[in-house]
Amino acid sequence: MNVVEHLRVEWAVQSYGFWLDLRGASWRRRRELRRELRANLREAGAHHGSAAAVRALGSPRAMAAQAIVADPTSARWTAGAQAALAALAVVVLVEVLASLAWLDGVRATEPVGGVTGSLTLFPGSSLTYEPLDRGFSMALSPGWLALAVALVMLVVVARPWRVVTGRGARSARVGSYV
Amino acid sequence: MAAHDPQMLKGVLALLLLHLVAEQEDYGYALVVRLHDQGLADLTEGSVYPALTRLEAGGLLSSRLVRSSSGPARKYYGITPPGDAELARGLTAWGSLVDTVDRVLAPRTPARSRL
Repeated sequence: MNVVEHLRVEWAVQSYGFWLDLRGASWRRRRELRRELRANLREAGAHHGSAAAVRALGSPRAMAAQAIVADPTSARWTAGAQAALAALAVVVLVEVLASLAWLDGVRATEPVGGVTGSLTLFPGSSLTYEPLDRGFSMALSPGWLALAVALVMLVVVARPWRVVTGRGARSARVGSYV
Repeated sequence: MAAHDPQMLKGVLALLLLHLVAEQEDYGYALVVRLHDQGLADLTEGSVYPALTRLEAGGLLSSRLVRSSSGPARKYYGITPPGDAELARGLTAWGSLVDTVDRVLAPRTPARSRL
């Protein structure tokens, strides 16, 4: 298999792992099921091509739903981490774009000395502009907002409270049967 | 070859897998190939792999990793004693169902048919 085919297989394997995580599969179980799927896909890919092998799987979400019973007492850390990384990337991108706009404004004033500032909607951020003999230098400190947004996304998507509330609900159910 | 009803296949998939594994220990993709070779090309990897996972989680199949010279280690499934019992129960139930359905679907004889 070439690189593209390896990537196609890996994408399917990781998608399967993602949906298994959402259904509450443990890290160890996900790793085991991913490894098995990877081995099967590579062998199928060697016979029919990776595109056909991946297509035969259908939806990774449906596969995960059929493979394991959802566990409401498990946190979804992988999905949380992916959501957090995506949120972090978006916030940093917006900050970079806002910084470029700030830089345009500063350069339009043709300052002779250094200029410092901050981004209005990004508390804790700081920007520094320094004119040089040939060109300029600029520094951006993104502040804490990006990390805070990522942390919130991690918690909201991973739902770590399910470990406690799920356990409580399970205990209550067991208690009601006694 | 005529396509099979997916819902019917879904109903007997566990029985088919238990039977194939009882015949010979095998891994996921090889089981798919064996099913296809026997005329069940409608059963895709997307339904066979989760079914194997469920059967293993239910204690009906056991598994072991076997190194492969052509790639990652393969997960071979074998049948457990509860799996054997479930297979026997499933075969009896299937035989009974086939008999009953055949009886219901048998062509009516002229004497029994309504005028």
